[in-house]
Amino acid sequence: MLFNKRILQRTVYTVAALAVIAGTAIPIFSPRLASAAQLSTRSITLSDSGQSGGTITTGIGSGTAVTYQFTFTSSVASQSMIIDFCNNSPIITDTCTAPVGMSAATAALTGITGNISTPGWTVTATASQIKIAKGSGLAATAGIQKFNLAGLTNPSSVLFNAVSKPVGTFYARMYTYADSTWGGTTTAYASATAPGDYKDYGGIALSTNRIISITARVLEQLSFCVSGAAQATWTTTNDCSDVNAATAPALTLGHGTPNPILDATATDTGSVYSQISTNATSGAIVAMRNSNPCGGLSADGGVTCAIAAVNGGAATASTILPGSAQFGMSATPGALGVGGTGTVNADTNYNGGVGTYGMDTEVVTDAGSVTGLFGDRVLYTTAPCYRINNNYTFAASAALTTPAGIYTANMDLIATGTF
Amino acid sequence: MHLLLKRHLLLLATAAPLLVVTWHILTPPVYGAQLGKRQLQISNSVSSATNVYRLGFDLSTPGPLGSVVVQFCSNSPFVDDPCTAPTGMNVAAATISAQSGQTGFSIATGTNSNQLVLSRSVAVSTVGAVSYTFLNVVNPNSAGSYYAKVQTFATTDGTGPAGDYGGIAFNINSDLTISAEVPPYLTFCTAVSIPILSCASASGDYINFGELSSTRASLGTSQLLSATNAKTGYNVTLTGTTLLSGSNAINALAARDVSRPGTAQFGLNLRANASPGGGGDPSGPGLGGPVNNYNLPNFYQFVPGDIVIAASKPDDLRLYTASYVVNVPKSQAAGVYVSTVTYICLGNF
Repeated sequence: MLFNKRILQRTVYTVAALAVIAGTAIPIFSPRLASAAQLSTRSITLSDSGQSGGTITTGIGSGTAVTYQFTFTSSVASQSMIIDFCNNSPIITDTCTAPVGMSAATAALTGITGNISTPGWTVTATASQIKIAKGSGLAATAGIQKFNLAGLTNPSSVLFNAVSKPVGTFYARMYTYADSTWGGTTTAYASATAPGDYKDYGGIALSTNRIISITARVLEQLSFCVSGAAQATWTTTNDCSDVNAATAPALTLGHGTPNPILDATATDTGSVYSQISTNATSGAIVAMRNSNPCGGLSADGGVTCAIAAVNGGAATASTILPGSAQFGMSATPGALGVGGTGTVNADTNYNGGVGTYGMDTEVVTDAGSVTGLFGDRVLYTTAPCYRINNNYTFAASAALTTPAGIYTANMDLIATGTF
Repeated sequence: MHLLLKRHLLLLATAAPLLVVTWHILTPPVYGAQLGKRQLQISNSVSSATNVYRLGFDLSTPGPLGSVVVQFCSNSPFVDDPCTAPTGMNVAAATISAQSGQTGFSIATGTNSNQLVLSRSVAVSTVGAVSYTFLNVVNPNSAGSYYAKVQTFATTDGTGPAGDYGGIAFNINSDLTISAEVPPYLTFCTAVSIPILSCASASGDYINFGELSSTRASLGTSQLLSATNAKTGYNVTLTGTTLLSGSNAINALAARDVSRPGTAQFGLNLRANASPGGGGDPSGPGLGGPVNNYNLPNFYQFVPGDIVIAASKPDDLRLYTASYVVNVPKSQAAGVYVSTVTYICLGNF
């Protein structure tokens, strides 16, 4: 007896330690009726091993709306069956303490293998007991029976060594009967300690467990850099942390050596490069601001722009002809960098086709302006993106009448994510 | 028995603060909902720039709202995390220039270099978009990603249980400097003929008046082409001599006059003339023009040192036609009369 008790304790400990979902058969009991046999290969698989009444109140881990899948091999045919859930013991005819917080009252049967199924079998259930019986269906023949009972609520606590624990082991006792009235035609089931004239039987240990809560923190991310070096040269890390990405984005527009000049004979261009990555759920925009309030290139600190914004600062891209004294920018739609995902679009104001440029200084067509407080949108994405490369080509030409001087503009490309 | 009770009480007294502290540590703070559509627009993304920040978000939870705390950090956007202040950033002098949605806020005590506390009298807020624009915000002093943590409170001073919350990432960059040099230039050429607006087409440097007569005027023309980007334009000055043949000369017109055949005259103008017919008005996209007495049709003058053409600002290509008129009296000494006329164009940079 002492030996059996130790075995039982070991089994309980093992089940609790491994926190298994599936119930574990306990092949230790002798039948009390010479005609009965132990159900073999019996198990109960729970769809959710969480305790009920815990911090998780719905879904996985809540211990509610749980499906118990029963599997066993019976030795004789049966027409009814009882399952008692006990907090204290799987041993047939031992006293049975109902698991705290458990409810099987709304159990619903679904057959899988064998004849125990609906609508041929009916369910009669209470908080800790499920009785199923053949109605219009067929008797369960000897052999494998597999069915689900859904809609159960797991125990909210269990007793372990007489101490209440939130989770742990509880038990199910199963008995099958030859008739459809749980032994009513011979000796009827009266209670867990007097189960009547059952045929096959078996105890199963089940366990509720602590739910593994996994938390992962994802920071809001917005990585955006502007470089004077093309992304193809960012070969060390392929992103903004690359040493080449730190190349200052300074452009001198013009032609000729050693000092390039801007004149009326050509439209001169120069490019800078950017990469953007963000997890902003509503995407991001890149806006451009021109430090010159006049919107073009200026030789007097922005008071006047002898090289004016292209197309009069309109919100449409246009060509810059040699000698026209205009300044503009063309942006390419985003290209995927190494490992990149997502899409970044170029605003049509700056993406009007080959050889066209924009420098929107008006606020009628759209709210943005390169001379406005927060600039004019040049790129946009409506979803998170990763390592999207964009190129910006700035172009300018001088007219014969463009006063001599050094013309400058500080362009600020500003990325804003909407998280 | 009494001693045992005292021990228990002592143990309880010792354990109670520990339990309280432990509970506080293990229990995560309870917040409202995450703020929606959070964004931070900045007017200048250059490091250390003093600029304007516009904070926008959607309030997710209705209820009493008395303060909003915005904390800027270099390490994390999570409200529970410790905050490392971005180096160089300063919002201590920030002011609110605009607000929408839930309004009535002002900068309050508790604001420091990396934290803004916005306060108002507690009022019930509704779910929806709000925005606040701040002036005098100094960016962090190095490029990179930074974060803003936003929390709402029912109190007026950012204390007590936090309401809605959210993090925002923003980026500081190097600005893009674009420069272009437009060199000074002065285009100027003279020739007998310049058929198109290009000095490359200029040809001829000799005008032959033929045999001079006292009964008719002799007329010749040359052309000048000029353009400049000189800030105040250009001047063309006339130099040279009148027609000379040894010690004999044909009088230059020191004052403007019409052509008078039979009178010794040598002069020019830069207009189309009817008497004698010929010459031409300036043409081309430039705006420069003849000046003084050289801009009067049918009047001629020749005073070396006179400015004959002027443009007061940078000027595009302009083609001028100089008309030379020569009249001689019957008494004019015979000979071959020659003059060399030079035009000097000076850009006024």
